[in-house]
Amino acid sequence: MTLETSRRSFLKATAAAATASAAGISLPVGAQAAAPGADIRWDKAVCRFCGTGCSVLVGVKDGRVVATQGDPEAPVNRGLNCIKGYFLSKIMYGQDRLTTPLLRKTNGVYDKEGEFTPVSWDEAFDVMAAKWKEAIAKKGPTSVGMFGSGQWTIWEGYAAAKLMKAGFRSNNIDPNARHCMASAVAGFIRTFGIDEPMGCYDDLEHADTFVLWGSNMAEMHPILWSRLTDTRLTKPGAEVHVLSTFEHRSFELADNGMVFVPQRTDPPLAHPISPRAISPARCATTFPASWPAPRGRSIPA
Amino acid sequence: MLNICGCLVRTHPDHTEAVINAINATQGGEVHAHKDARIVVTVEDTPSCLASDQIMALHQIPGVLAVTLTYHHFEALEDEDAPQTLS
Repeated sequence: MTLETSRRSFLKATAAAATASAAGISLPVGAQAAAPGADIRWDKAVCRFCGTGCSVLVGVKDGRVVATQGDPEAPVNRGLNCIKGYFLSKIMYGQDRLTTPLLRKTNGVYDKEGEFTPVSWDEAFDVMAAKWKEAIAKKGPTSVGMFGSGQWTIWEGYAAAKLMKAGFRSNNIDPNARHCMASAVAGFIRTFGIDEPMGCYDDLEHADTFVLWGSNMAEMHPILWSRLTDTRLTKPGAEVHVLSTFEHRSFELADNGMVFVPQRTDPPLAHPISPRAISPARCATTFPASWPAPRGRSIPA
Repeated sequence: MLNICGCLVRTHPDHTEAVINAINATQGGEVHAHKDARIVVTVEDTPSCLASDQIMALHQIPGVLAVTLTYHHFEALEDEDAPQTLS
């Protein structure tokens, strides 16, 4: 057995052992010996490719990320990642990744209309500082501002607020929390009376009936979908209803799959639900006779 | 480059055997164990197909309900230059 072959078998056994463990499946005797590499240091991180909130264990060897796995202790993803997790580590080593500051220059000098040119961090900060000082001297602190990321950490946000408010004496700092979530929160409060997306992941195990109305969970939220799949396949009486404008992969688990017919499926479905969701007193409880009869193209499971 | 993934495949209970056969028939895929319509699979790069493409292809096997990735390992072999590390 060459070194490469033995390393490959070892890594395959490790991958199989981690997967079997996350799934609560016993591997055949002999395949269990491999434990995640002792030569790897494992740290915790969160996957930022969507908002589900999966925890990831990151394995580092000689200063490089060489492995990732779903955190078995995480209540959200329970040891699983989706295909997007595959790129968590790979994306850091892409050939076309931006690894140096770029400054617009013409003939080696900063020029707003120039071409992006790689520069050192020292030069980047020197030019930034000069431009900010110039603007503040001319027009005062309202002439500078900062857009923050929704993905910066608490500490980064704190440092940025200090820099802008205490340092530059400017209120011109806005993070994604205000640009995006402020409007969402106002909408949530008004519509549902709670200031965050409603629902609880534990319902995926506690509920009996699931209605996917316009959602393609199988492809868009694979981790939550895997939990829903487990419930549907193991809980007696559990049902999955998939309502969509086209047939997609979530239909493979559907007890009742419906493809919308324009104007004939949504209103008749929404109508009986709305008095319960809003208030019986404020909704008509009878279906207008002038509306077309409910109709959808039913796709058998 | 060694590029190896551990995947958990959930199938429709009636199609588990067919899915296992289909995965074993692929070049980079290998079934290690299965229980209650869940299959432990490893996938690795082959000369003609990357592991990521194979994982996407797993979704298309009839009877497959969900595919999740649990473990991913990639490292350069001894005789290869390691890709540049960010400092």
